[in-house]
Amino acid sequence: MTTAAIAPSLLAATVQDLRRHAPFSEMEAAHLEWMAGRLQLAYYPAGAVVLEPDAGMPEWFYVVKQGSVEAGGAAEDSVIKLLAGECFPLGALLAGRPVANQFRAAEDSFCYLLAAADFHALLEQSAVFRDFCTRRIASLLEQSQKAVQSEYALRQDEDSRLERSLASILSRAPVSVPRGTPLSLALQAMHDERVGSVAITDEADRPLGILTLKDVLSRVTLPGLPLETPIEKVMTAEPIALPAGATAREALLIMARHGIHHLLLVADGRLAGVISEKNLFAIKRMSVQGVTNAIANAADTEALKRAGRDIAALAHSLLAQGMQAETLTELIATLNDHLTRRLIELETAACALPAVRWCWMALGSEGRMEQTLATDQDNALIFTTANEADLESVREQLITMARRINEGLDACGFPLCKGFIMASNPKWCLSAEEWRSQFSRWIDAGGPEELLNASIFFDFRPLYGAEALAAELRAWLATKIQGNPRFLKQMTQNALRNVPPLGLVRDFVLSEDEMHPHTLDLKLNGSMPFVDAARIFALASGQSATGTAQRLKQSGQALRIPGEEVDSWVQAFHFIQLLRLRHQHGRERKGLAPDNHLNPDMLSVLDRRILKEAFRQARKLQARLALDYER
Amino acid sequence: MIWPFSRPRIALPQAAASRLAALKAAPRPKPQTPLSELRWVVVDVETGGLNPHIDALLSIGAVEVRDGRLKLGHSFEAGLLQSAVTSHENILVHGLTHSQQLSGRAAREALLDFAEFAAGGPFVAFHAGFDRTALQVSMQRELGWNLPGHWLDAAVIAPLLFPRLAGECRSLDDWMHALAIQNFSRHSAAADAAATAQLWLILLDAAAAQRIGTLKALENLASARKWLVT
Repeated sequence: MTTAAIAPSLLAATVQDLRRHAPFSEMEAAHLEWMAGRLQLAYYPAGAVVLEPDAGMPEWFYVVKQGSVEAGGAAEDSVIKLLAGECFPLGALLAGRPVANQFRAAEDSFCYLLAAADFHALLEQSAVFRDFCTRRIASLLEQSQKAVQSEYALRQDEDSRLERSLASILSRAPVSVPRGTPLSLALQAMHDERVGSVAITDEADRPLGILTLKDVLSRVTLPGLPLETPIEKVMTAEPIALPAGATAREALLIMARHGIHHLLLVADGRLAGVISEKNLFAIKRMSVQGVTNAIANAADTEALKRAGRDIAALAHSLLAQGMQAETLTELIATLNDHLTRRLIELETAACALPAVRWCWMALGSEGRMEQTLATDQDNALIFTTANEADLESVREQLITMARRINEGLDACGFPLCKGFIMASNPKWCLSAEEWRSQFSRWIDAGGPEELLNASIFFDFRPLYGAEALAAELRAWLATKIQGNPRFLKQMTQNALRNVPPLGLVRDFVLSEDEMHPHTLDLKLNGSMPFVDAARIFALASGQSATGTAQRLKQSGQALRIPGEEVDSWVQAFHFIQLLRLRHQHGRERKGLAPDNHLNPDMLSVLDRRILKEAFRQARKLQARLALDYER
Repeated sequence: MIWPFSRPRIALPQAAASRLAALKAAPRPKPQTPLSELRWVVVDVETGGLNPHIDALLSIGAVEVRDGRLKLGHSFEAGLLQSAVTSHENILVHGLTHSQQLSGRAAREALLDFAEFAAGGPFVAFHAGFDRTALQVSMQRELGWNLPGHWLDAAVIAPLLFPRLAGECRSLDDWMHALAIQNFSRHSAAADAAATAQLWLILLDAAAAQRIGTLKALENLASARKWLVT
């Protein structure tokens, strides 16, 4: 009698079939083959019960081969849908307890079955499998992160970036001195301007030579030359110069060939700039520090526009290097803050300001520090007047200033707000007292429009000026809200209307909108349930944080929600934000305007599953919200 | 029906003879056995051509279906090493070359292995007449023995259980498509047997739903369509 075995061609085919999905895609061939040889295949017509709580300890580990299996109790609306490649019941098998939910075939389905004893043996054998089973969501997130890295690593071809013209890299005007300048003055200029080299030019601004800090050591300090020496005695004469239109690649090649670190740029024979090796490295790996400095040193809106573009380029590059959504969005927000502050500095220096305390506030996603690559501006002003009579004239002056700032921001890549939620709108340039009465009206009325406003304005965050004004408003708001449970309930009901797009029939409910057919709105259906719930939790528990993740963490503690639950929400939120960033990045690369309409069919199987899990987390979060505030 | 009724005696080596004796003595499933208790052997064979009486049997693939499950760990496949010209006249009349003996033994071993795996069936195949004939011709030639057992034809039973699909489905591919069965890439006899077995799982489920409970009942259903069963 032949012993039981699997036919070689079936073994190969089964392993290949399993490999299409995590964690099997990551497992060693020997472990997969061991598993395949022990598998059985079962058929479940639509509606058939696969597994139920009454069946006792689960005897089998299931992998959906084709079709789909639904799991869920009758009580909740928490039906989850398992598609091809998904495994169950992990929790019950690991914990050695009956399943909590009934599992039934949602359509005609085939499942692979592995006996529970074999499942446990496989856990022992395969670290990959064990890791997957015990840390399902976490491990999924990690893998997705890895996928992001490799995907972008491919595109992160330095080639295209090195084709940038040198003129586009220049961040500042060149530091130059005329022939005959004593060394002391030239060195002072380098020190003051914080540059590593100085160009020497003739009367027509034509470059004659260059002197770098390194040269100073060997040509001035060590020989002990007096600092009165005219600079042309020690400079490198007939320096290498490139036209401003030359590319970064050419500059790098010339530097490498001649062993130099600085190059002069000329336009029409005149000195147009100095390129240092550092500038070139910056584009190879654009640094946060570099962009920050560029913003701090920006002398005008033109320089800030460049910085705005750099922020976007940096965000793409960091996304490519595998930075987490959490860090990345915060970083984008921080740089955007720097840019906005610098712009306000420049603009306020240029106009007459009333002698009052005022503060520029960021609202909406900017207030939450959760901007993506497609963000328009949302801002407002708060001020105080010593004298009631001055109110309108002060407002007028501030609005004049705000208009310049709004337009400047527009020029730097933050489009004007379509809903005119901007500081230059007289409705949103208010005194502290006016803000309080405005907020009070919204809280007391609680209609749809008021709730919408609250969702934007209650995420305010001071950005520039007298920050205490915003802090006082925040403290006042916390007290006001806590005395108004009715408003919290209205906000909750409003938030709960936005149901995560998990389908009963298909895995996702897609838009029927003609403009964006067959898509999910990652902002409306994805991030918003988390953002809304976090806002309500934070307002209810008097937390001052405006960021969604921070709000969830802070209020989680205040409201005694288990830490793991909060962590899952935060992770799910960050994953959706990451998908948004990736989607927008992808569209920009194709020359399309970034948006939030994602076709889930374009996602990898893995991302699709995580996204589903993230939506499930949104549903759990909403259930918690309903429990606490809907009564 | 062309059938080698005259059964030439074949001198088998001792080991093969005792295996064959054990196979002849093995019990066979009773017609009253409930469908759910049967161990089905779902088979697919590949031959050198379209005539199972003449064309060489090249490979056999089979999987076990039991308790409503396709047991991947209980599957079988074997390639048969034999030259196309080999027939029992050649074997009896002429002496065999060394390589022919080798391949002949390989085919015999493979057929014995399969018969032992099958353990009396019942057998299921799609267009079962073809697979059955091809196997029996080879068995007869190599072992001087007819593989006994019940044979059920999925190609006959499927349209009886799914009459609404009967008009549009002819081939196994048609049924796979109509019932939305996704299978591994099918390029071996074993993979085809697995595909047929998946169809069989669905047919068993449909039979249960239509209160067809025993092997006999299923055979009766099939023979009502003037199909011959052993």
